[in-house]
Amino acid sequence: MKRLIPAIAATALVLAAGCKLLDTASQVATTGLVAAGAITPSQAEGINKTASATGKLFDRLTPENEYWIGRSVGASILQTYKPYNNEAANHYLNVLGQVMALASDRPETFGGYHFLVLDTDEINAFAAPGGLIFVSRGLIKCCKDEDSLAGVLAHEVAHVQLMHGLKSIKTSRFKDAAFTVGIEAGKNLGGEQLAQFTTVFEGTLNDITSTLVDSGYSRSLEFDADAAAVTTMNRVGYNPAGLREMLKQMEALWKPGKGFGKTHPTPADRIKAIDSKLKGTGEVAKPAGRQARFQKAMAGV
Amino acid sequence: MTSRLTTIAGIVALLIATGTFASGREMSVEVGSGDIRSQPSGFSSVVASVKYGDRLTVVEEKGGWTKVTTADQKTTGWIATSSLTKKRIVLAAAGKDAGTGASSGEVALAGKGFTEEVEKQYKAKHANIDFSMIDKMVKSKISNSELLTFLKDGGLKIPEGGAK
Repeated sequence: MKRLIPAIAATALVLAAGCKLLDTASQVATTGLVAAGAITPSQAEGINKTASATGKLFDRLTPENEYWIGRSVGASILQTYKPYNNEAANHYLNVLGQVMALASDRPETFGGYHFLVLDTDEINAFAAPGGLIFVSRGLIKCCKDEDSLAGVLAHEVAHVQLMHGLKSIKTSRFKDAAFTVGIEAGKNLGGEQLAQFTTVFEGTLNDITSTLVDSGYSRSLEFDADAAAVTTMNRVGYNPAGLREMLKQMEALWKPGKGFGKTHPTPADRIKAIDSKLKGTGEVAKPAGRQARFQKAMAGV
Repeated sequence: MTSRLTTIAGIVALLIATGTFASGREMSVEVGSGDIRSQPSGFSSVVASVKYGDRLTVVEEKGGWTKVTTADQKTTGWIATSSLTKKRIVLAAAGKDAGTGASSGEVALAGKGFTEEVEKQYKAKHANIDFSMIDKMVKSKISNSELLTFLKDGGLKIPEGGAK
């Protein structure tokens, strides 16, 4: 015990030192802004207080900020992919998605979870920060039953829960002086400051959207989302083997360099990563009522 | 003596590290609208609805859910811990100086940073980006009763609470 306490104290010191580095960066930025007359010394003090009070940089974004970022990320995705105009399919996706969200470790977000089918054969899905989730017809076609689709949605909810989208924002955005000023202000930003802050906003959207559409998350974040999906599925009684079934279907339709083929680990690698969590799960049962409603809602997809 | 001091310093460091000192008895709602439920489960009945910035008194915490009492003391129930923050959330008054209103470790300013105001600017710069479907999506809401029927009809489990 005696040995443990100094170790904890040392850890606390290291943590404090880490915060200190952020402090310094923020103070340098704010000092420059005060000198330039962009902000008052009291504004600088407020900003520096925040920087010292927070650990990770992206923690400076509130759930409210996350919501407004997510809306624009979603709108940007809908520039490329058109919504699938099928009320029954979209309603079913929202009910099932809500079930998975409520069973997850983050049941509520600032603006709630909302789901939409995208009208494309490409295998793809996007989770915008805050809970706007898009799933392509192509990905739904990889699902032969509700348990499989529940796995897809639980995986996307996990990206929101684990804030993977926000984590893809480049650190350089947070070091931008316009960010430092804007993140603390908002309504009281003047014309020029607001214009500069809007440019930072555009950069932030670009970081997230390009990660979602082009570069993808790291393999480990995808495996984390699969692992969280298995947990969520178990809580409501879906067989997590549905996720494996879906990945097997996806393997047959896999196109490298397109959709998930561009942004995700291969289905085989994902199956390998979750396999230990699926021991003893057996075949995915298809209770009559569950299968009937899945087939009815997804008939046209 | 030195050993005792080290122990005390160690305990203090531990308490700071685990946030014990910072976690007051009150917490704020940090989702736009949140539900307080009868059980620590997202599928149990809703006993009260709370909104962004509301202060709640913490009774206990269990597996990702926090038992709270509302400010008017009338309702006690469970809300997702992820919907709460230790910070006090204050609304930004229009035209208020950011220096006096700026966030600190204990206070978060609502309506700061990336908000509707910034979205408006962004829309003005990119008139070609259509937000109508996003507006439609965020308005949709599935009722608790529909979710319960969906679980029952599908032969699924209704988590009784303590989901983690």
